[in-house]
Amino acid sequence: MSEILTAILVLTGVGLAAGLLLSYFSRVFYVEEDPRIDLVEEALPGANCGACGMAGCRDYAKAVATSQDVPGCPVGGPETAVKIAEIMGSEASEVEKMVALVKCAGTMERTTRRGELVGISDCRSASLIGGNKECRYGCLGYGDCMSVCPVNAIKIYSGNIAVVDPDVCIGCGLCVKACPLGIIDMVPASRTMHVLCSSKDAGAQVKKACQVGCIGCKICSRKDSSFQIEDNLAVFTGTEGNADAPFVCPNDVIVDTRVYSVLSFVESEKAREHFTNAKEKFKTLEREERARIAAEKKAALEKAKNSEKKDDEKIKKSAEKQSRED
Amino acid sequence: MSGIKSFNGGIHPAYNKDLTSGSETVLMPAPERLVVPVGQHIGAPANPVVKKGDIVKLGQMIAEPGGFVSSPVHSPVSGKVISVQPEEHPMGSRIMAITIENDGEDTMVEHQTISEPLEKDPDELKEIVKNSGIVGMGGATFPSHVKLSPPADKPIDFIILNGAECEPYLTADHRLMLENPESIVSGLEIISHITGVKKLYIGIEINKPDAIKKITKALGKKGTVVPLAVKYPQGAEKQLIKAVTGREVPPKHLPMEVGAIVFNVATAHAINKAVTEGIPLFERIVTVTGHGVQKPGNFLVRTGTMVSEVVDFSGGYTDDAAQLILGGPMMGKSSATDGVPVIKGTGGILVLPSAEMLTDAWGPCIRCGMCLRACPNQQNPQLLGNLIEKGLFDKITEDKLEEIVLDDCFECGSCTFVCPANRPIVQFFHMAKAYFRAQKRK
Amino acid sequence: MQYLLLAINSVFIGNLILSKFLGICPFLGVSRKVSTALGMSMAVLFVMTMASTVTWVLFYTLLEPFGLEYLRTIVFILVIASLVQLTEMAIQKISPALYEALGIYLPLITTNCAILGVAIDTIEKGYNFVGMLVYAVFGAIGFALALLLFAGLRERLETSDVPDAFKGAASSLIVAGILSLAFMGFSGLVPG
Repeated sequence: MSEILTAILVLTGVGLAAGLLLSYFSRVFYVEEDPRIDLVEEALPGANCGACGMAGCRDYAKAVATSQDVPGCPVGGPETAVKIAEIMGSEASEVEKMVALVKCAGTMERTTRRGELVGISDCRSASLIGGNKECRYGCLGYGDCMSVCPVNAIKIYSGNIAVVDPDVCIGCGLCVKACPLGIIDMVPASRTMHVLCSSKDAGAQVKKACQVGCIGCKICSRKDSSFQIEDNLAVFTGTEGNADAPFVCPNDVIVDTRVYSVLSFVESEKAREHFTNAKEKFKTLEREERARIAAEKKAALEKAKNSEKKDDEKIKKSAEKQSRED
Repeated sequence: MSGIKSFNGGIHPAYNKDLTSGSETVLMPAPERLVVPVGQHIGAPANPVVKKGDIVKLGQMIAEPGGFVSSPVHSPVSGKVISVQPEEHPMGSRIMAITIENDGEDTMVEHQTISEPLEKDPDELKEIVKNSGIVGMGGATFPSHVKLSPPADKPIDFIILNGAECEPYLTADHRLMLENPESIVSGLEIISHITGVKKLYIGIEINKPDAIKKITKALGKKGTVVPLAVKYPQGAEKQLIKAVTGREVPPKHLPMEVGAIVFNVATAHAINKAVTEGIPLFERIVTVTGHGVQKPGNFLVRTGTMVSEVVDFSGGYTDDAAQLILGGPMMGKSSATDGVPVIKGTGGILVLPSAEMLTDAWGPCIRCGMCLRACPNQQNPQLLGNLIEKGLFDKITEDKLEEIVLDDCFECGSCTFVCPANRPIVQFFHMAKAYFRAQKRK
Repeated sequence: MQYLLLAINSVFIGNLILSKFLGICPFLGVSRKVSTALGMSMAVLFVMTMASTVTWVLFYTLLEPFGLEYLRTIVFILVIASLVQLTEMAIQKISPALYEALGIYLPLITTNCAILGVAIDTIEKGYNFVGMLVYAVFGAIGFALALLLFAGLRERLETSDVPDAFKGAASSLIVAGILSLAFMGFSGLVPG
């Protein structure tokens, strides 16, 4: 009996002493720290696995709290990333969710090619010799962005264009840095209209290089003022956009994501066909509308003319009347 | 092999120089339209000083230097400027270029000739070199006036003229040495006068015995001709210095560090022409060669002439021509189009038939170490190449190796030449250089 | 002489990681880069020496007199855990520079079985105080050796073309196994 008692007593004593010591010294040795580090650390899986390349979760949390430039926690995955973004973003007051967008729709069939690239096949190397497309702003399609994406949101499809899946994208921005041409942009996830072109070349040059290039004609900006033309390139700055805007573009550069996803607009022939038909329809309607307006104007004009004639006759008549009276 | 000097490392590619070494330089008439890029040298691009519609004369400065390490550009013909806009550049990018319509008159702009340059003030001569747009004609296109102005705390002991022409296929310098030895020697004397250096050397590979003979005769007692072993890259600056003087340029340092300045023989020729005749740099000898052209040969071409026009003038492509390389096969750049102009650094136009193109797939590194032995800089292309391949640029920065990549590697391609796995090691370096330069700009 | 043999024994033959298979967690976790491996090794050296000393003293002053040897595992865990916490706090306050270098690795060590292993091993083998110190210090050096070797190998592995199926942990574990085999070659270096 006494053996059990001593065991309990000794253990309790040691534990108590350790506890008291710790709590005392935690006050003595208290060091002011960024409170977000603790919050981030709590949000992490806490396995101290070091898979992120850092020594434990706290180290990682510290890195997150001090700089934005940290790869995601591979164990926690997107959920943790969202939590961390919340913690970090809450300070920057309601950061809008951003997703990456590759601003090019120039698949191999739609662009003029310069030559065959032999050797290292990645974008960085291809960009040094100007790429294999005539357009210097066209997606090279070797997938430098794809390989850095931590959530596999980017894929290169048959058209040799990188396409971001906006539902998977966590907005880390690594692909923006990886793209040697700088044609990937972070756009608000709520934006429903995109200009899928990055070419700053003059219109004639663009036309030579690509069937779906922005030539800076400014027609879209007339339809919707949130399209702004900078350096021969239309940029959409609004959120929703006029649903007719894609139809007025002569080169089909604008995609309305309420109707087509970016992927289908770039890759699917069917979607393109559908779009072309819709555009035809719109054009016909517009033509009819214009014809109607023109006809109305004409009618109004004629009416006015007729009434003028009547007036003239009236004046004539009254004049005659007067002369007779005289 | 006593008396024949060389360096450590290096390779022995097939030289294929007999294709053109026997053919005399042919003057190519200026075409009707020339596209002159403002970036024909290393350093800041020049700024155009003419605009559309201007009438320019032959040799008139059409773009002024954009900084100290920069060089002006002169009109290669007389005529009318028809556009100033970005055009295709031989290096693959699209940069500002001045397009001139040739009036065929070749009316020369006012210029002064100096018959006795060695009695003039060195600074005045240096100014002429600077204003004449002289750049290194060996291919690196480094502005020559910068080399002629060494810092005061770096005493210069040697001037070395580079007549090695180690690049396979190319014979432009060889022909120049045969046809214009006096001009080269005179250029060397002017360089010596400007810098005040009296120890003069001309290094020539021993596969050009006729050139050694001619130059030795023209040089007399003014300097020494050094016969060099036939090895690539013998004509690289640091390797040439090692072979001629025995001094080794330490890594991450410039040749001035060991008291030597190197000029290409063609540069010396250009300096002589600029000083004595007052003709700025707007033409150069281009070797059109390879089994992809009908009639290989050497041509004196105005800068701004399209590559396609030069090839047509030489006799055109063969039917199986497949790959166009601007420069030599080792250091030249493969070009997707022949619609680019010849610039000051274009020493050769090499066209390979499809049978000679290297299209084999490349495999993983097997760590055989052949590239280490071949590297003329005694660096480690294997490790660095692998790091770059895997995109581990941070690791290179961390280990402080980026200067080796940026400054020491001059992309001679020896590592890629010897690699049994066909690995594009030099292309990796090329890529990393672009990456680090972009990083530095940020 | 006896201590020299003990030192060699604990670095090479009885290497904590590679022959006793203790502390595998940091061995795999913190061996991505040589620099982090070095920091971890230093922290282990520091904690291992301290923890062994404290537990040794505790064992011979508290547990043995009361006849409570059977409680040593649970007491050691308790003591080591609070000790590491305490040290971390102390270092953070007293020497921020040292904390920068070591501090981040300390919480990882709390759960490191190598520390507990060494503490128990010294008691089991009945080392005296000096023997305990030698064993702890050189055990930690052996740990550092294995960790640094492995980190260097992994850095090299990163530049190699590893088949997809073996990328990451798989090839690392194979390398660890080969390294362990290599260390087995040291057995027989010290007689007995």
